[in-house]
Amino acid sequence: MIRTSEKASGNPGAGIARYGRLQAVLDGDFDGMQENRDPQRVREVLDRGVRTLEHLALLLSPGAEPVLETLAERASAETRRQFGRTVQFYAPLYVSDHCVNQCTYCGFRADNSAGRSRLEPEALGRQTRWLTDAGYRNLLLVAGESRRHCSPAYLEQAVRIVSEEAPLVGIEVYPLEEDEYRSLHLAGAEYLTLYQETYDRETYGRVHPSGPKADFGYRLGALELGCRAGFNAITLGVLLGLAPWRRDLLAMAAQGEWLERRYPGTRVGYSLPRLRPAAGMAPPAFEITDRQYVQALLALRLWSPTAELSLSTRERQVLRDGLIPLAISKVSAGSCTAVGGYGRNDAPAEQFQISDDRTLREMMEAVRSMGLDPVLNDWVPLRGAWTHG
Amino acid sequence: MNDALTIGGVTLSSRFFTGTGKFSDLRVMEAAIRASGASVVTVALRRVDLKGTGESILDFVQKECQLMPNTSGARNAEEAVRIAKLSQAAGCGNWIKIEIIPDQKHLMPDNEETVKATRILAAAGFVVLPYMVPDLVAARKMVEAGAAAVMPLGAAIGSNRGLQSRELVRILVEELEVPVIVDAGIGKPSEAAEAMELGAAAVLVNTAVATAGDPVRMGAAFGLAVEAGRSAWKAGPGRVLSGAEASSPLTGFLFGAGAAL
Repeated sequence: MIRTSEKASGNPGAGIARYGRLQAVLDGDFDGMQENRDPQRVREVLDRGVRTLEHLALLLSPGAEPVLETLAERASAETRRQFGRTVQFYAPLYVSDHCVNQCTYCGFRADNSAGRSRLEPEALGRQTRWLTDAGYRNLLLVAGESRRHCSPAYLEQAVRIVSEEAPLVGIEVYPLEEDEYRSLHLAGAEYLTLYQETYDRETYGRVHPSGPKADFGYRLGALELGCRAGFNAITLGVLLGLAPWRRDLLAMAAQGEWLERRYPGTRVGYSLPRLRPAAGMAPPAFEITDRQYVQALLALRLWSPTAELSLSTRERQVLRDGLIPLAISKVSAGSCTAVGGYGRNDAPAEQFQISDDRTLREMMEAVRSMGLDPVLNDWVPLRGAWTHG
Repeated sequence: MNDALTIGGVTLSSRFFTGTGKFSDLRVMEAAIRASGASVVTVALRRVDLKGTGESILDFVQKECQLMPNTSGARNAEEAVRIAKLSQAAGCGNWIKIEIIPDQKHLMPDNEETVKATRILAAAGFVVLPYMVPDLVAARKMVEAGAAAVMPLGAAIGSNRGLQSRELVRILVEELEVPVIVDAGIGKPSEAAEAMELGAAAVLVNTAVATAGDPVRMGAAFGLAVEAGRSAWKAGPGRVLSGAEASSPLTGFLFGAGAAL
């Protein structure tokens, strides 16, 4: 099924102008602020309170580097105030790696010769039980883009199966229509993760050369459909390394801010994956250093104290352990990025390599040693199969 | 003179209520609750692992405390009712703090939906304590719908900003015949005392205890502050004047030596 017409799909489509100040960010209106080199301007923002996108641009600027420690202090206090001494845990559950896209950075891209599979109900049930037996209660169901091999009907069935065992289920799948999102939500999915990858249209076109994902606007409009479909939470994200990171982050924040105001019932969160090596992939064009990465997360936390900020196993142990107490509210642990990979020793093809391979138990212990409580269960399922059991 | 608070037929040993969220460790939480002397402990049903076999958050709430499950996560009356029923089925008793939050940024409760949920759950036999934005008109509807108490916010949940809603809470205290329990926003023991001096029947504090440097000591401090505030209310504070009242009134000359009487 091919959907390109805005009318037919209900997707707002290529509407950068729709999302508040996203257009202004992409037009370069914030470039001066994001390139600021004067620490004094950053200190002023910190003293007066971080509220606007302009403030965020200054916190992301090179001028904030000398005051990184102050950023860390403030961000950590905000994180504790909002989330207390707790950190949520989740695990990704890859259900299908069939993919018709050609994302140049991804191990699942259509050209890669690796065999493809999707989890059929019985295998999915086993993977889910393996995860819930290990202690996970929050599972993020992940799939590549293929309406043929991984249809919305299949996804709905998968959500039902996973939500029979896990109280909290999220989805990270290709853009769907509003009614399809609603079906998944009613089947038990509570949150929706969808990364724009980059807001830089030229880069976007280059790294997504073909497949439905090549349509920038269609992807951009999907999160809003998720809000309308009633998801409790959405996660926006950019894949750092594809384009100049400061502008990409501001663009993401501009869209997030607009969605948050327009859909107050949906909680907005952010995730900042950095490019990791995958089979047949080119090295990152715009590298973001560890120090800048930390700065970016601290800036986001200060700008949006209530936002869920998640951190995946793409990042190294030392960086994760340092960042979690400062700004992070949700972490994955013991992740496997291959379909059907949990509980197996031989590794099927992965979407990307992880950097932190600690198990859930080891990770929970690490979090405890930070003086934080690892929280596995934080949801009462109200939809889906679980409550009817 | 017995000054105990009674709600839903249960006589409570303290006017300090607390919660189970945001602690670094369940053992620290247990010790903080004990040190505070809290009589009522709220627990988000979402944090109770209904499928779990390991240690449960409920194991760390002392048996002598009244458990008050809350409907955190509910966005409308229907969801709150479902959570309340799951809570009862899970053996968490018949008290329920209704928490309906359709605003994910400021976490403001929805009074209108809360009135609806109060009516349904009170009719179903729950002891209903609705968390609300302090609004007299909505509070009266909740009382009429069967609320055993009302729980107006002092400030945004988890904000530690203190009793920002003071004037609106004062009106509830004056007008309502059910206990008014200030919930959310209280950041310091002095603010808890302030709410009690205003005539609140109790206060509920969670974040300020859980995220304190020493949660156990902070729990104890809140317990004392609530007692002090309650005593002050019972004692009847002196008048608050807009200016100083001179101890030698300006008319003293009328009574002095040589005054022509």
